[in-house]
Amino acid sequence: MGRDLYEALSKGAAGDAELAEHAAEAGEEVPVLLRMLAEEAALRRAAADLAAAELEEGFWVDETEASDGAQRLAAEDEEDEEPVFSGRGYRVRVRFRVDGSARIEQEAGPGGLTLVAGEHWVPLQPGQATRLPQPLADAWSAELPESIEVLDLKGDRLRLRRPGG
Amino acid sequence: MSLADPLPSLVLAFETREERAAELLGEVQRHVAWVTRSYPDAYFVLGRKSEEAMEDLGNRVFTSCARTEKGRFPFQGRHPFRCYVEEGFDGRAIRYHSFYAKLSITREILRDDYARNLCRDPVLKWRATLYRDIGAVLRRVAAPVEQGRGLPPRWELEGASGPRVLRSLDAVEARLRALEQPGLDELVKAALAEAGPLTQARLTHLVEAVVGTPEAEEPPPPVTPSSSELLLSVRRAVQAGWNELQDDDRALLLALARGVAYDDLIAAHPHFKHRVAVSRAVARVGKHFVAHVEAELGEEAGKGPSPKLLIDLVLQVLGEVQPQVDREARHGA
Repeated sequence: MGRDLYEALSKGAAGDAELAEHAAEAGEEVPVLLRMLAEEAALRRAAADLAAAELEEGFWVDETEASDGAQRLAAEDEEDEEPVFSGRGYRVRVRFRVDGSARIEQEAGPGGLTLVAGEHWVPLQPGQATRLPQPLADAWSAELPESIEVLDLKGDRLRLRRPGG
Repeated sequence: MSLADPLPSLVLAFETREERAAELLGEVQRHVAWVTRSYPDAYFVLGRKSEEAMEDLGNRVFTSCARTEKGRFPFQGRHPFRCYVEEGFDGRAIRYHSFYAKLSITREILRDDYARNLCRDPVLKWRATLYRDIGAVLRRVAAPVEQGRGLPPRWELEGASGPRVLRSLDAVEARLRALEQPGLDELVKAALAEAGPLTQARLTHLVEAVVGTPEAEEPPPPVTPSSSELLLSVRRAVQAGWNELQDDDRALLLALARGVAYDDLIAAHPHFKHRVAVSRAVARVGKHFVAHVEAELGEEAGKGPSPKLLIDLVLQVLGEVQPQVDREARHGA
């Protein structure tokens, strides 16, 4: 059959016997370059087919992660749930952004307030959003505290709490 | 928690005014990193999932979205960013088509990188060859069961019907390992009998897990990029050799150069069912085409490009010939 000869061209050493038979019939050997060409082309075809098959079948598309992603994306569409911390006439709002950063804004109370969170000191200005240091944004994004500590203009430490916090 | 979604405005600014490119690239990089967390090394440039490879992938996703026109839905001849702007896609739709969909821009690029690695890395080459060999076994012993559009068929053993106890792939793998020196046919049949219908790709990974991959070797150095002069010489030589072939010989050469399976070849050219027709075409391709190319490129005198480079170039030029042949066939019809 033609199949054996055709397939032998791309089989490397496994096709030697078949091609030797052909050489005896035809009176000359199949050029090495033609065998190399057929072998390389067959490999490329198999590689492309396998890669396409894995894509179609959804290999490595981790369903759990996709679901997490979907939840995260859904969270972006939720209505206002920005955390607000308040107390002693002050109100401070935190806004997380999809790029992982966060802003903090003092919405009520006298000026001169400073957020104190671990090693981070963030001066606030009423009505103006201030970017949180990224480590703090990451930490709060993972677990939002129930309350935050601030210093007022006189240097007194105050604790502002989330509703119910 | 309300999070401002900057993606649509970033795409709009970049697409209409070429502004905010760095911010948009940052967004692309971030989502690409998220999407590719589960992918193994084999899917990344040079077969390594390094920071550089991730960054490179993000850059190429960005470039593809910004510059590469795509024919498929939803792009329809537009590059993705333009499509997103014209269609007024929201952030979720942009992310879906660019990163998260099964057929997203990101995953298409990963697929192409993987295919390239499958041709280059010795262990992955072995996997690609295994996939091909399993395909040959499946065509002999099983029948395809279509799963629907966009999904590869599963293969079911011929004659397998009625209720059976099917095992999980882990259990099947353990049972296949217990077989004594099985051949590929035996492994494929046993896997389908134990696990029920499987896709060719799934079978390939299963068999690979059972028999183990060959020892890892360093991949060969990449083929040196060809000069335009060399490509021109190869193009001339291939064209001259091509002109000396008859139609049947050309059909056989193109089938070989595209890695076409024998069944597909005879579906298009039934006379190749006969061994003598294949034999004659092989002989003529050798005599008129290959000999011509070798002579033109100084191969006989040992002055030509390396065989590997020559094969690359010849395949590249023959790839250009195919559309021309298709056009001629359409006009002739």
